Amino acid sequence: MKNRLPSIVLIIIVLVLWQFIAFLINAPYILPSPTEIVAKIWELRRTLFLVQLPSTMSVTVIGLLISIVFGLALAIAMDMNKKIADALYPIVIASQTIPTTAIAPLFVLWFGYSIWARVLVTILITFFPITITVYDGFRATKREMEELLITYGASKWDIFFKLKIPSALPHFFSAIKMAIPLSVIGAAIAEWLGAQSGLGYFSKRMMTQLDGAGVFAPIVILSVTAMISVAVIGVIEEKLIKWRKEI
Amino acid sequence: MLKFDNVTFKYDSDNYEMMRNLSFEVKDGESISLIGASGCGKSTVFRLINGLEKTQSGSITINGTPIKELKNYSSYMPQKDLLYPWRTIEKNVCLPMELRKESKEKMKKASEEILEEVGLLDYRNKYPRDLSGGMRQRASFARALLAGANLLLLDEPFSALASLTRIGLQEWLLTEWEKRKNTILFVTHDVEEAIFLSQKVFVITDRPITHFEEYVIPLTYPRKREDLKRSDIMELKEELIKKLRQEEVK
Repeated sequence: MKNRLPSIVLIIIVLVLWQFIAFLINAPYILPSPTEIVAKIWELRRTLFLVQLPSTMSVTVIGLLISIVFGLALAIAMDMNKKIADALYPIVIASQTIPTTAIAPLFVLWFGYSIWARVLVTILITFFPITITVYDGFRATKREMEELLITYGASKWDIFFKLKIPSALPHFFSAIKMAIPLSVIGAAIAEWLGAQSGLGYFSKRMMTQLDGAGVFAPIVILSVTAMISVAVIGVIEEKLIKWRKEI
Repeated sequence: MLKFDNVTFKYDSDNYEMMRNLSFEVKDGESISLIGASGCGKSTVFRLINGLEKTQSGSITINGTPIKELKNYSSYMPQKDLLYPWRTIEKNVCLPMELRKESKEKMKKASEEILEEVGLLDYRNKYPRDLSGGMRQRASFARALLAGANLLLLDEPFSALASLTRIGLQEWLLTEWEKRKNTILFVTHDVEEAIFLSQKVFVITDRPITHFEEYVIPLTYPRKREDLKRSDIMELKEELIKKLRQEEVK
């Protein structure tokens, strides 16, 4: 808690400043104050928490799970075979140069307003940090630890399961912590560009009504949800990898 | 018996040979120290024995069989303990048996016996981070013993330890060897350690390595640290230090 004090103080200062500037501007459709946003969240709590949030979260969770499976499979394949790594690495990097906002409408054309167009955007954004970070984790395995296993007669798979996977666990958790906010962003962007439900879609709808607080309310919920998810992963990581600093 | 027969070796990244036509033998049950200046190739000898590097020419055999046809013929103990931080001490020690797909009961029995012997039985469910440097090295030694090979390759295992811990572990290793009579090849920088722990000392004096200069230690067993103060041992120590200094200057 003591470590987080500076960031808590900074957030309070920003919120107070924001409240003050919003009061001075006095145009809620341009810059609603934090208290107006909180009031809006309370007013719209039913639709926000019972309809839009579950819709966005289902996209986020499905997209993230597919990304984890896909990203891990790519990382393992790249680590196991140098030719695969040489072939895939540039493609994985190139995939990140695709402007998501430009390609998302195309996904809507392919999949309609179904959940899969949004899931695909989320995957496109999140599989990259998972693949690259886990792959780097495999490569960061200490050579001398690997050689010790070889002297004990270990096979390639023994080395992979008994050394590389545990060694890469800290990298895996870092990847997940990076991917969670990205998956939320991916889902929200996709909802902005073409959806019939979700917090991104709701925010866009509020925009057309010039409801500033209504635009911000879903954004705040998205941010808080991402922060809580990252914190939960952090707690799990701390419980599971007490040896992180020793590797 | 470990035998190097006319072994020539060079690292791919180097344009000079590390060893040329090197031949030597280590008989079963012998305890031999290998000393030499930094970077002279002591650890390379171990890497070749372990099969981590391939010779350019010549052969390395154990009891007449080339090492490439053998499995689990040597147990390696590195300078760093290399205990896996995510495994308990018991699981770390059992790792070589696990790789040989031994049964759980067998592993449990063997690990309990060996941990009892190295004085770590009460720590079997602890993690490496819970142990001191000396205890970790003993756990690493226990793991090397459970690798099941008679030939132990100990690569400066005590060099990173505090002086008193180091002395304690040297005496402990000596007792272990007297009890088990494993074949030990021990790499060290420390001349006194080499003399105290071994029956013979091999000194590397040339580059590329073409031969080892062999010194037989005139000490009997059981040995005591006070033996190192004997005049003939002191003379031998000085002679070895002189050899190493000459090699450093080259």
